[in-house]
Amino acid sequence: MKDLLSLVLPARLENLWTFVEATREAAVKAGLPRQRVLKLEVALEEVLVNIMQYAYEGYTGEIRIACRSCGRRLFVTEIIDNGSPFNATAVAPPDLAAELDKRRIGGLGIHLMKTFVDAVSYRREGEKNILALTMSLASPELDM
Amino acid sequence: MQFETRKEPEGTVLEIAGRMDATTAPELEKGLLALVDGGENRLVIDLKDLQYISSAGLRTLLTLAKRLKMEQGNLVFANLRGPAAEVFRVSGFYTLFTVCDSVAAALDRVGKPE
Repeated sequence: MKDLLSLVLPARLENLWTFVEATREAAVKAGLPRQRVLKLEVALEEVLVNIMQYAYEGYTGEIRIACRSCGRRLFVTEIIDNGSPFNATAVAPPDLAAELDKRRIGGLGIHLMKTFVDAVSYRREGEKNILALTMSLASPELDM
Repeated sequence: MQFETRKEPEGTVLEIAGRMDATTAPELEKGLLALVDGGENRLVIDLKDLQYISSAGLRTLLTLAKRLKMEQGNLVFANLRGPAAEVFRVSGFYTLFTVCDSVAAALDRVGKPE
């Protein structure tokens, strides 16, 4: 297991790219192929924006991102916040077949996140939400 | 994130380049809605240089589409590829929107609202 990143910043939108770029660097270092790095970036943005917008009511808390690679097989990104309990994995997807008038964006970000990573898990530890996104490094998936 | 427009006989072509994410989408949305305010309601969006799109970007496109519908306008996409295409597919946006392989084909479609 190799620690590749640990970054703590205030949960403000202005820090979104700092988080994403740092994670991208760690993912590239770990050998995640480019197209899959892009998917991880989308997944990560969705999680971070949710935290930045909803986790901390009335004050700016912090987000911590920790990345590690496990052998040469897995790249794990953990997103940790101290906000209200929120399990992103339990959110239902929106109606993907709805017509234009009824189509909503709510829930779509989390749906994208779940689809774009190989595994996602949530746990609550004390006051912390911990979401772990796992990307397989050795996937034989065809890159676009 | 930038976009350029040019007018063709069939409609207006917008080329969106760069990243549509939570930090860039709001500004882009304002620009797009201003276009519609200005009377452009047949839009072809050329995505060949779009490098990245998240749900924030999708929200902008959806807002634009709903606005255009109110104006009896039309919106067609062209040159969707790579991860952006995947985002569209996973989000069900291929069934929601018309996506063409080229700007020429999109211009042909945009003049014929369903």
